Amino acid sequence: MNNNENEQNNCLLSVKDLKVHFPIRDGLMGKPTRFIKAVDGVSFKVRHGETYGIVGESGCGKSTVGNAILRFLEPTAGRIEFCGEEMSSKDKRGLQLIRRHMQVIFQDPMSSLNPRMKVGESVGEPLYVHEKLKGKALQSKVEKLFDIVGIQKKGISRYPHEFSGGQRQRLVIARALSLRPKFIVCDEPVSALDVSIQSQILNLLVDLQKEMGMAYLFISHDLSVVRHISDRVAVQYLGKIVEETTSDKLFDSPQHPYTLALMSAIPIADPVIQRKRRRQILTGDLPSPENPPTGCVFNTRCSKCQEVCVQKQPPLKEVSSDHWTACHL
Amino acid sequence: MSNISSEVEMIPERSSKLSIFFSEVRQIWPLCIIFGFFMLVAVFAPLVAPFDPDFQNLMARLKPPGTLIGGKMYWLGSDQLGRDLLSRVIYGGRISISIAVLSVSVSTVIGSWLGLMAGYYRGVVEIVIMRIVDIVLSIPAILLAIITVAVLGPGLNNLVLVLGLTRWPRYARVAYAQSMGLSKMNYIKSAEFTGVSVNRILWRHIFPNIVAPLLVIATLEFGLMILFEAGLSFLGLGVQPPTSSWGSILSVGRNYIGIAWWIVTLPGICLFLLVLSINMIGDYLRDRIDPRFKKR
Amino acid sequence: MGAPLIFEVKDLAIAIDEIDIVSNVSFGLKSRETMALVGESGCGKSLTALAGIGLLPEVAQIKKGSIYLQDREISNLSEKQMRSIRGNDISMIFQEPSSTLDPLMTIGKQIAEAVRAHHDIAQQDAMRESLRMLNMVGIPEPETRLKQYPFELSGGMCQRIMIAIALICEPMLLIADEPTTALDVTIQAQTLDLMRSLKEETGTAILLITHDMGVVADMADRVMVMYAGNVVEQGDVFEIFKQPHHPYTRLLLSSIPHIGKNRKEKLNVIKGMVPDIHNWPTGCRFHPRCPLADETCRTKTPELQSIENMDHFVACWHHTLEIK
Repeated sequence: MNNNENEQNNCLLSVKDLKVHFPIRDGLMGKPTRFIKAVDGVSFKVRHGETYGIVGESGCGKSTVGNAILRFLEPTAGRIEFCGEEMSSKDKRGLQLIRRHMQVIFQDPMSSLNPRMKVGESVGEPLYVHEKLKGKALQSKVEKLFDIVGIQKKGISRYPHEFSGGQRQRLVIARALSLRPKFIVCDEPVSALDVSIQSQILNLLVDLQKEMGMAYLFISHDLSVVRHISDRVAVQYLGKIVEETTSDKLFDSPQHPYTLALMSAIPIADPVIQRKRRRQILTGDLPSPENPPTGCVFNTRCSKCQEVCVQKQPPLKEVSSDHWTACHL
Repeated sequence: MSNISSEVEMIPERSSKLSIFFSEVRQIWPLCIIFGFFMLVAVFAPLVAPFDPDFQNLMARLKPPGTLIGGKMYWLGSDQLGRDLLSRVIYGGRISISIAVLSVSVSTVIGSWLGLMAGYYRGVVEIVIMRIVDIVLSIPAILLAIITVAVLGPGLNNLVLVLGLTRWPRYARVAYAQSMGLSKMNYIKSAEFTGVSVNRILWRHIFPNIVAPLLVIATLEFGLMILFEAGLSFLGLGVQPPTSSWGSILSVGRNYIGIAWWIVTLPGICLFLLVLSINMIGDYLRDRIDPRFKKR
Repeated sequence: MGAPLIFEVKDLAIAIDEIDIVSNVSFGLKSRETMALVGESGCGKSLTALAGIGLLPEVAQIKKGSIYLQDREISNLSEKQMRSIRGNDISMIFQEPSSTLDPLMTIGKQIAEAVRAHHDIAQQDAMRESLRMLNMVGIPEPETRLKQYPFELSGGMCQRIMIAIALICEPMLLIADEPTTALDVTIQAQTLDLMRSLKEETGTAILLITHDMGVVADMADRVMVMYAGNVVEQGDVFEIFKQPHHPYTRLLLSSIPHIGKNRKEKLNVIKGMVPDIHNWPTGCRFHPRCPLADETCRTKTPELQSIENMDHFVACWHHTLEIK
């Protein structure tokens, strides 16, 4: 009982059995019969100040999970709780109050800032809208934010096209921090940046978390990046979580065949090691989310596939302490 | 707050807005001079015109350009009532240009606003507005002009109304397509998420980003409005005497084309030059804005 | 050492409007060899590759240097002569397979077109060749695929089609410009594997352009690291990874988060950003971002020099120093 209560208090975001199915309109009239099951039963919890990573390749539905949490789209089923409050049923008003504590950082720094608005105004807009700050008060807060993310103050009156991709992403982060959110959804925040800039931004995100204590939901296709920044990681495939555990455990002892294939596919920047590795090359392509395989979603490409894998969907089992896998084997 | 990043990013210097403007103008300076010339003459008409445009001198009827009468030069000749053509062209240009400016303003405001709404709100708003757009587009402008004149009577104000009301769909369609495309942009989603008011999103986020193509259309439409007005006045549906625009001068002048070619030709040349320069400026703007638009 | 070079670039310099974009590029490739051209955006690697196949954009010109295909100089050929080489002796594949395939033509026709452009064979025979290539690149149900359109296939499969089109005439050189950047990592592994096995079969050399050091470690025999239009380090892949000399190479390798490193430990960064082509730094172009830079670096441009007579060249005044 006590443990449960602690869990509740510590928990910032709780997602239970989230499903997002997009209907395929087959004609002008009639109910849609086919659905794209982008997210098909995803559950996880994010604690205060923690970084939770969701990793997966294109088509796995990880961005859709982020969008559903942020309510950019309506979940088809499932329960999302933020700070203990149920989000899924809130109306616009209630949602606004909850959203006050959340922010989002997108992948593309080019489209994340209004090209016709000075970046100082973009960064300060949340403060203007929520805390009604104007003039000098707003200016000084914006200057502080620029400082935190490492952009020169004179940039306040400039336009986004005058900055590089990495700098724009810093500005986006500054804007996200302005209201001191408790939770930031980072949807592939460094994927569009050069490698040497990626590390700059990742360092910044880690430092900011240490200073300000917010939690991140870090969505990415890049396993090494997710590993670096996350405390816990979930591996997603075709709308389902196939493995979930702490970052260390995932990389020390991955369990699920898909995770193994994923890790084995990442080339290591060392030719001696890379060419000696026993690699599991996944054959075939991702099945269509409109028609996922019966049983285990991964069975069409799994080298260890057996009879039971095609018949029954494996539930998430705890294979060792705090390490969950959805596999029959 | 501790010093999180040890390196503060450097931003390159930029040139002032004024120097950017002048470097742009330098590319198309002949066009700007022609256009600027007409606009200035239109604005300063009373100071520039040698005669009162309505001053009739029946002794000086149908005189060719360059005639000197009583010490005063008729630079472009005189019309059938002895009025100085140059002054009539100057004041007529003022009328034509004012009508064009007013009607473009009317259609820009109506069209942009409706298109913006349709593209952002979608749903019922979109359907209603875009169907109205389709309906208005299917009515020929001449027909609408005739109906309006029949109902409201001819005159300058009604002319502006007709021109404004027939052209706004062109702006609406562009504004609609642009704002629809923008609604998917991340900065719009961020703003909506943060709780920015719809008003602010429409006017600070979406509108400034769709202004550029609308500006190009407005520029090209300006030339078109001058032509339309000339056409409608030529048909007698536009400005009525004693007010005269280039169109009405042409209309009357065509009766004298055999004996006094200058009444039709010279205002016609002015019309041609003004519309050509505006169109070429509009083309240039479109070429400059489009690629830059994509880059942003 | 004995095998002849099938592709050689000597002292290549490319300029746009009098601004030097790429300078002093020299390398050679033997049959079945893979050379990786690595660098970040703005380093000039794509332009170098395009020069190799004669597809430089209009604004860019080869200012200096020559390109040889088996002793035949191709850098000054006419467009007509280049066309008989492209697709036949030198092929190229690009990053976005969906935009390099014609959306209105079936797969079979597109592959057939590639072979009929260079060999006078009947349509039926060309289709047979297409089928053979589809099998070679490992596309399941190839007969059905022949009649399908690109939008019906996934990104990974489209890239395989691209490879099929590129290799059907068994070219001497395949230029691959970021071929797997847009693909998922598991599909990337499949695609790289395919390229590796195919080049052994057809004897093709590969010029691989990438920004991913992992891909380089996986595929390359030799590496050329570029920064801001200059080659900063070049040589055998094992040498370069074992002992990278140029500070840029070293920083690049250490800034990648990879599975070996400790979590949440600060990543090494390369401060600053890639310079704008209108503002090339004086002397060594890397000096504003280099932890080892001093006055010499600011004023004198270093030349590529060999290290201990091995297949390892570096352009740096201080490459022996340690970076703190």
